[in-house]
Amino acid sequence: MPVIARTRLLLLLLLLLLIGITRTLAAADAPPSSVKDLQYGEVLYYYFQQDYFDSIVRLQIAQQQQRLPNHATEAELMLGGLDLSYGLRDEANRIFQRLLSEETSDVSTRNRAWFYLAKISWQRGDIDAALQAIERVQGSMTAATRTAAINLHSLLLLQQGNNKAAIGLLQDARSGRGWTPFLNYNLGIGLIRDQQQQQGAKQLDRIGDSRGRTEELRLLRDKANLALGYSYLQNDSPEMARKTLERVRLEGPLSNRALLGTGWADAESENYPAALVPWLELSSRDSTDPAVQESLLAIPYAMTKMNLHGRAVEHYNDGIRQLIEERQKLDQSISAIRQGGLLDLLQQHDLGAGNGWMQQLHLDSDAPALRYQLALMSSHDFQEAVKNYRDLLVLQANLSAWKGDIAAYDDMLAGRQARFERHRPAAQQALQGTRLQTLQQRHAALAENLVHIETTGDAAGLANPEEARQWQQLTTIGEQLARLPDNPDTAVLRDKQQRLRGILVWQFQADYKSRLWQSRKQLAELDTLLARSQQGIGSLQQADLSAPSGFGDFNRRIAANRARIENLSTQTGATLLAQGKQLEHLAINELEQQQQRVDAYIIQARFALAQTYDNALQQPAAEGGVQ
Amino acid sequence: MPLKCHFPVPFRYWIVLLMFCSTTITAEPATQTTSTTASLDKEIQSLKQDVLALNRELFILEEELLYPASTQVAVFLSLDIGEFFSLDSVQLKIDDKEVSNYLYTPREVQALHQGGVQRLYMGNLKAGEHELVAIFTGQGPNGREYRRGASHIVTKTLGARFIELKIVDNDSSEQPDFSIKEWE
Repeated sequence: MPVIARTRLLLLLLLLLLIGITRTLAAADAPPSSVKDLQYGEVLYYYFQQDYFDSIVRLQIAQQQQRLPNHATEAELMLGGLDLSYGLRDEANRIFQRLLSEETSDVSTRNRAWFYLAKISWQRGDIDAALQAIERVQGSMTAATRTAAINLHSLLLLQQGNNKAAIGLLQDARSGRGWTPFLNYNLGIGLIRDQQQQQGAKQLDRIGDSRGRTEELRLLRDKANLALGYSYLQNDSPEMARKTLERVRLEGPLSNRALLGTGWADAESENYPAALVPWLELSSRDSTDPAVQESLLAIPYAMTKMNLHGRAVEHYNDGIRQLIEERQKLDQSISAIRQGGLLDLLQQHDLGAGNGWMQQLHLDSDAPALRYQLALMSSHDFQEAVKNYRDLLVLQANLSAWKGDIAAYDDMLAGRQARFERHRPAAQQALQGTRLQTLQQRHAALAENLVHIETTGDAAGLANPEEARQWQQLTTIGEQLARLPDNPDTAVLRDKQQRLRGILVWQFQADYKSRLWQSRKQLAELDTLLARSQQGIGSLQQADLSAPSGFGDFNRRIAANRARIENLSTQTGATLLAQGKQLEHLAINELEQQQQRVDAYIIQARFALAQTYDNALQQPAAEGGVQ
Repeated sequence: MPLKCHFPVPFRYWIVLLMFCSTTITAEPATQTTSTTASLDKEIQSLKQDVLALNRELFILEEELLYPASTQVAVFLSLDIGEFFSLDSVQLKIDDKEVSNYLYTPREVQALHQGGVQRLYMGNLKAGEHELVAIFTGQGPNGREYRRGASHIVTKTLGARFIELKIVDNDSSEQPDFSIKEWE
């Protein structure tokens, strides 16, 4: 195989290696879900929806309100991890460094902190620092932490070019459940990069021949087959390459590259008719894919080799036409991006979709500004720029919502203040007056009276107002009759007075028990009412009625935060503009590179077309001569 | 004179293109772009932190203003396993008055299954006894429509009150259990 092709294959292998490891790292970071504090569970609720912003806010609030007594260290580690997921690498770094500086941190905490620090350095592109950190992960640890650490460590060693160390690490690894295929994939790539083709092929072949129970595993299987297939091509084993590449799913995301490789495997075996089968299939697919564009040249190349010069000329011409159209579409896309089309589309998407936001973009691939998004998204810088842009849009929406809320709080507080002013005179009167004291004295007298009635059995003391009036009247009459001289008329009157008094006494005695019970009940109710009144007065006494401090504090906080919202909104707007420009710059840069490639293909195709004419002229009698 | 082609033509151009792109064209602008990207990234990190701090402060202010501890009551919802019940919605009533009627998205249900706890309602209650009723709707065992209620008497005192609605699998009856727990 030519040197040129080898170079390309190495690049492809490296790309595949990076994709595989990045995906698996994300799966290693799930926190424990056992909840001992409600608010920690609330943080997890947002975390599991990949809503890192709300997770961080809820976690910080719970920490400030001291509502995470059972998850203190866990929460700190989680906050660092959340900060990292949300792109706050510097803050995450500070948290993990702090955790490591605390003498109380246990081995497990320290291991996880070192792991995250390694990840931060890796994201920053500082491989040496990342390696220094990951090497500090040692001692006993959970299977998840151990496997995630091995995975990252092996990636770092491979990036450093230390393939042998990576292989040693992966061969000794005891992986957690479900991780074996991913680590084996890395091992296979490592072995191939270390020129241990046979052993590497064995590892990748095992994955490439697996059933693939989940979509993630099926994708890994495709990657293994693609990487192995291209490595066979590189090592001049086209037959093995073809067999391996044919295992890649025809409708999967890697199928285009697999079809291209399958064609080259057949071409390497000089079986050009067979090579045409995958290439012709490939040429009918989405022409924005470089593999499809390459097939447009590969097809006539095979036909030339088959001496079908006439058909080759047709395909070259057709390919050139398609590539020129592609060139024009790229122009349209660049122009649409320059006119703000890309940013408009990004702004139209539902910001609440979390990480699914990125996937939603594919729905709009017909729009010129997003036609080449698959190519754009394969660039890490572009992906990061889109994520940042989306995060800034979320910040902008968040600040805008708070603007409305803070105005409502202002109104609410003003309403409360007005209500307070209305009720203040009555409250002050209640505090200054002696009404409660008088009521308490009356209550005490009533209670004393009831005790007296109970101990003396004075049933008349429980008379109702009418009976009391009658009793009083009879007593007065009795006193008046006592002053009258004794005679028969007086005797009749005295007798009548005694009888009426007797009836009343009988009534008192008959109702005594129920009246006593009623009176006790009413006294108890009075007791409760007085206690509540006392409590109310107590609260009023605690409140500063002349100048309540609560309102002043709220007013100050609302005003300060309103100013912060305004300030941050301005800053976010400016940063959003700058990030938008950056995003457009990256997109245009990428598309211009694509244009250069398409231009190169066009030149190459024209050159090959001329060459084909030349060949045909030299072989006029050949079957495929130019008509 | 015709040129001879010893290897696949499309491959031939790759090395030229790659060399061209990685050195000649992008070397100088790349440095500038990297530095701009780095400073913009720092700016975005700083902005994110400021907005996070603002949100923290505003949520606490909102809680103190709208739900002071003396009257605050918060109702949370959690799922344990949930094999026998697939949650669709929860209706919450306090003293016979509906205070929340929440319809769940698949993503939220998934988050609950993984161990997340949702804050379903936050409001104010006077001191004393209150009746809390939760009605859970979804699919029960064998995919049947399922609607069940649970009630609880809350005694509100001066401090904030946290209540958890729990949906737990009962393995022996192969039915979901709905319970209400008060947190100290």
